Amino acid sequence: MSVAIVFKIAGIGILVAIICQLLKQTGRDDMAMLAALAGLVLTLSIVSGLIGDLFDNVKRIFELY
Amino acid sequence: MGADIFRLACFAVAVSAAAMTVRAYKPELGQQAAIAAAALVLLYAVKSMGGVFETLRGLLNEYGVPSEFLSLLIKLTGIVYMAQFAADLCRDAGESAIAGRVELAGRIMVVTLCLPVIKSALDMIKGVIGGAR
Repeated sequence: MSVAIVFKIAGIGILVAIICQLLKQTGRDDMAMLAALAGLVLTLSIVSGLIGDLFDNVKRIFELY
Repeated sequence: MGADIFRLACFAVAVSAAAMTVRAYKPELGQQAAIAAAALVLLYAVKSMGGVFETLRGLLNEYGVPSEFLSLLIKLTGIVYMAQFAADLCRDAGESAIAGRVELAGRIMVVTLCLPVIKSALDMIKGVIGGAR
């Protein structure tokens, strides 16, 4: 059970928040938006992999074909 | 096996705290963390459920219950778990309308799969009544 993935996502969240704050303070709002989007895409790819794994397992165990 | 529930409980509480912290700064990323945690816990539960179904299948074979009923039951359980999972995540994200529709779709699928069983039960009743006449 890869528990670390979840905390990795939380860490990405905090990191992205800090980066966004820094970029906003220095007046680069467009870059801040881009950083937030990049964080979202990154976590979304991790989560979609996890959910795909879950769906495969459910399909196999509950015989849903 | 039973002791794993403590690990699971600690994990769930820790992730709740982490997701709450992240949600204060970036709500969408906190939600992602919560989704990942829910998927992991459900994955763990589902993986340990395969053994239960195998045991149940053996038990029902011993007592001569038709095995298609058990596979139907397993299928229904899977559908309900998936519908509930998706609906709860949608509700967490504040989309209770989508959650309600997912639950409705799950219910309809369950009823659709149940119809043959209802038919066979009615056939059995008809057979019993017809035999008594």
